[in-house]
Amino acid sequence: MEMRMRRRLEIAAVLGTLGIFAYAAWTGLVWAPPDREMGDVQRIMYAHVPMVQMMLLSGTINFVCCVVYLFRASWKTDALAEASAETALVFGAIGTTLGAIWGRPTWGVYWAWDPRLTTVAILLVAYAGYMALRRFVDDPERRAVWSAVTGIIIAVDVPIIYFSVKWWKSLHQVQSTPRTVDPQMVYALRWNITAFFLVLIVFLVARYRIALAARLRETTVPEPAPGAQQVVA
Amino acid sequence: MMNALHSVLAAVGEGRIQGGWEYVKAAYAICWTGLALYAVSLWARRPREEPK
Amino acid sequence: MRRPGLLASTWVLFWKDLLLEWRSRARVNALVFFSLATLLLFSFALGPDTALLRRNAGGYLWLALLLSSVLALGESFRVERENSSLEGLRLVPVDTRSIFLAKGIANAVLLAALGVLLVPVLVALLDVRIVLSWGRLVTIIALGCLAIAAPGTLYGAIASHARARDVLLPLLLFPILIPALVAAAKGTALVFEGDPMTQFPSWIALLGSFDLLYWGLGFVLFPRVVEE
Repeated sequence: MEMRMRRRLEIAAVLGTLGIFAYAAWTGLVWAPPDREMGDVQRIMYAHVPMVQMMLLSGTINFVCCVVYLFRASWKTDALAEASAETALVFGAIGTTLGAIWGRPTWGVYWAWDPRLTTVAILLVAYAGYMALRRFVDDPERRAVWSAVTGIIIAVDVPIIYFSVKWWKSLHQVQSTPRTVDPQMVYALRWNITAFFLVLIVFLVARYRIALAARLRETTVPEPAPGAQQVVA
Repeated sequence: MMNALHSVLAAVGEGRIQGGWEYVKAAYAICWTGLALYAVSLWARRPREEPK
Repeated sequence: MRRPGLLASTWVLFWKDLLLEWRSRARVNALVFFSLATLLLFSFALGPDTALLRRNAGGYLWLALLLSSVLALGESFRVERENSSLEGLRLVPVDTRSIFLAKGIANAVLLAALGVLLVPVLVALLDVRIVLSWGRLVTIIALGCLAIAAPGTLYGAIASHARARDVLLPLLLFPILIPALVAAAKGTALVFEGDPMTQFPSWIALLGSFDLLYWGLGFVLFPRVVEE
């Protein structure tokens, strides 16, 4: 009985997320006015900015989990760290692609080495390494500790990457477009941020369950199953 | 003089990027397809039996 | 048995690492020729445009060092793994953090020596001139090699016990080293090209904070990496 209630609540949450997502997409694509300078192209922002923000949020969650794990080891923390690293990878990959598409009509090139976008792109490669490490270590406890260390190393690099790209680029050109923002645009952006946040939560919960189930399967093997990978100490 | 100013302002108005919907369409298509594919991959990887 | 102090054990382990490098000179030689080969390859890939090559010399130096560092770090932990000597070291009542310091400094020294060795090659091959002082060049090489060595030692210890370690180490190391690469390459380019806008100190500051951050982190985290 309880299981079925939970199941229904989950389905309702997913449907609600989809509804808010659809409404937010409508505000961004139809309802909001075109930008004074960038015209309709600016509508990419309503997807690009939330995607990148959710990537950074995932990275923050990953960092917190990594620190917490080193102080207090728990499979749940490890599973959430794995989940958040993967969502960071997904949201970051799509987010930077959108940024590049947006850059083409506005800057004239796909990639203008914008410091923020470049930082996110570097972080993407770093989290790809993090996920590869998780895949290439078979002992779950070592994997958890090592990936926690790796997650911390990646996270503390963020400000240094940002400043290095900024200074590196400032030797070539400076780009700044201070503009007043239409209140309708703010409204649409807020809804889109909410929508993508909810999508992130749904993804995180689903991925967290996958990771946790995998951890429990790895750690509680009653007898060595045939074909199970032996951990070499 | 005023005519010249008007023409300059008009030119600035034209400075707005016209059209560009193909970029918007491509961006949203990539975004939605990407998220949908990830959702499908999560569904495919879902834990089969409840962990005890 | 008295537990030796952090500095004392670091010193002993550091000499052990250097001695190992010296005894296996063939490996160090191979590393030198590898970095020379990369420098040559960069030149050939871009064609014989001397002005262009000279302008990019700082970048080539650091790319050559970065590529060599992966080999050096991988080797330095392969030796430890094959002899299970990290396990042996853990049996001795020695502070694990001194293993990190010793290995990190040994790797940094090896890389810095390689870097200093490559400078005359750059001068001869790419017609590079030292416009600022030698002191600044040595400073930037030392700071840059320290920057590679700290996270490199941490990741080297991790990757050496993982599958696919040869792919894993650069995949983990290169992205986080990008700021250090930018700062070191820019600083070196300023040494070669002159520094009319006095940007050199800011790159040194960036590299210095990278060093402080990662040596501190490595010092704190390394015991967790090698624990059972």
